[in-house]
Amino acid sequence: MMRGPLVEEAHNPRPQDGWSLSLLAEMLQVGPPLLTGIINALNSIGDVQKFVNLVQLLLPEYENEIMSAPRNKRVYKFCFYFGKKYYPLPANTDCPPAEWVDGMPLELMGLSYGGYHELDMRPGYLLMLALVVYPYEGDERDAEDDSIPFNPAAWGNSVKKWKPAAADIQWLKDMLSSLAVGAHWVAPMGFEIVKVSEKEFKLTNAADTPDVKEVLARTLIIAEKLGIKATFTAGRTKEQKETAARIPLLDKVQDIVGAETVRKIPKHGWEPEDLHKMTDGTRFEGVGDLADWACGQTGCTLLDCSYEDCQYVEGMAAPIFKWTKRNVDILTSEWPKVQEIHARIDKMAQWLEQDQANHFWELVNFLINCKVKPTRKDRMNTYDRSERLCQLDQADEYEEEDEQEQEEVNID
Amino acid sequence: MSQAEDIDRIVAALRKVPEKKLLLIQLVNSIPIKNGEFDYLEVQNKKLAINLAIQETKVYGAHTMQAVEALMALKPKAEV
Repeated sequence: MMRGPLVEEAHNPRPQDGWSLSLLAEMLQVGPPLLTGIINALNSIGDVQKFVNLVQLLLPEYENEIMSAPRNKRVYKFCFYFGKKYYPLPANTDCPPAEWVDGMPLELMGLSYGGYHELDMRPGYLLMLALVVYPYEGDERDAEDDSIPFNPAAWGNSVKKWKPAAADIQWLKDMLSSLAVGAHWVAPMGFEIVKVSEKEFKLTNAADTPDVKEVLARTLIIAEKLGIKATFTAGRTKEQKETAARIPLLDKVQDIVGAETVRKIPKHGWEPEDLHKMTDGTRFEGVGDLADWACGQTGCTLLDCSYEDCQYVEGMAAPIFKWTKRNVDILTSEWPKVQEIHARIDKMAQWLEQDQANHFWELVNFLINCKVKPTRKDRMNTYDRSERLCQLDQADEYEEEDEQEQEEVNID
Repeated sequence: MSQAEDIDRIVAALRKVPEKKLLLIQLVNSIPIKNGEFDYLEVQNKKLAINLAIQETKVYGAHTMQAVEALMALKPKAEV
């Protein structure tokens, strides 16, 4: 979603000068089957049957074409015909059918809470996002401090001028040498570090008090003198998150387009409805769509949900979406709208990226001159995280347990 | 000994190796092919026999590998 056309092209590779001859050679190779091949075919018969069931459920008219293809090409054929009938699958077509049947491939493109705060997206998206209200206002994750709720490296000039005494340097040396690699040290005053290597430690927690801030700032100065690397993730306090959530975003945008343009943006940004009102049908069309996407209100599952909004089975790194007719129907009906929204946002992002400072200045001035008073919704008291939960059928913990029990009964 | 004589000798030795009729081959020949794969229901019906045949094949394969490794480990012998 936020990565640009090159990634999209990589997802749908097509050979420039036709398919390679090695594919033809592969098809012409015939001979008696290997014993290991026969054994594998017999052992994987259950997975094959599941794959056949899937084909019969979703692509019955292409069953012969898919199943008559060589084993390693069946998933590819499935994707090809599925894309023709429903919507293109973001698939790894080299994956064996056994893994394929376990869950449908899906690329959720919603803007997650983590994604919003990491701000790791293409400039065109960042610029438009700066115009939009904070979509997570009222989220429970903003109601607590980050583990290090400040930037230890940015603590006052008085500390910067401080010169460590020999005893201070010795203290850090002794403390680190007393720790094994991977061991944690908790300072009673309220911070915690972990020794990463003989020449590196990581700050993992810190209390938001002036004493801790000062000690940490001094510790960083000593570490620098000793050539020891100190790493940390600077976070924010609960108050900062609740009242100034957009500041890091605006700071980043300011670096791109300058302070003058950013100062013109309303403090809280605009609601998606306002941006639609002002930009739909104009040459800035797409800004309202981006606002919908940021706030999870496009009405399309793929654009509104992120992986933070799914169910996870214990031990699995990704959610498992079931191959159900309902899931396929939902995604198929939404697909044309997903493409339209995606195209409008990308068109606008590309235009902004052509001349970031000037084009964004033009856009902000256009919005200001529209004289639409920013609507201010009470998100703090009405925010409901469950509204963002992915509504597609997914495998859950209890279901996995039931299946395991059923398998055990079958074996008995 | 000439190369031709060597070949004749090896062919004669191989002819003495008894024919191995693996149960697995007989079984899979009796299972119809459906959807480009063995018929699922037929495989389920013959599950026990198939498991046995797979074990026999694996043992046969393991013994063959042992024989091959033993032959490869033989050092070349000078002709007398």
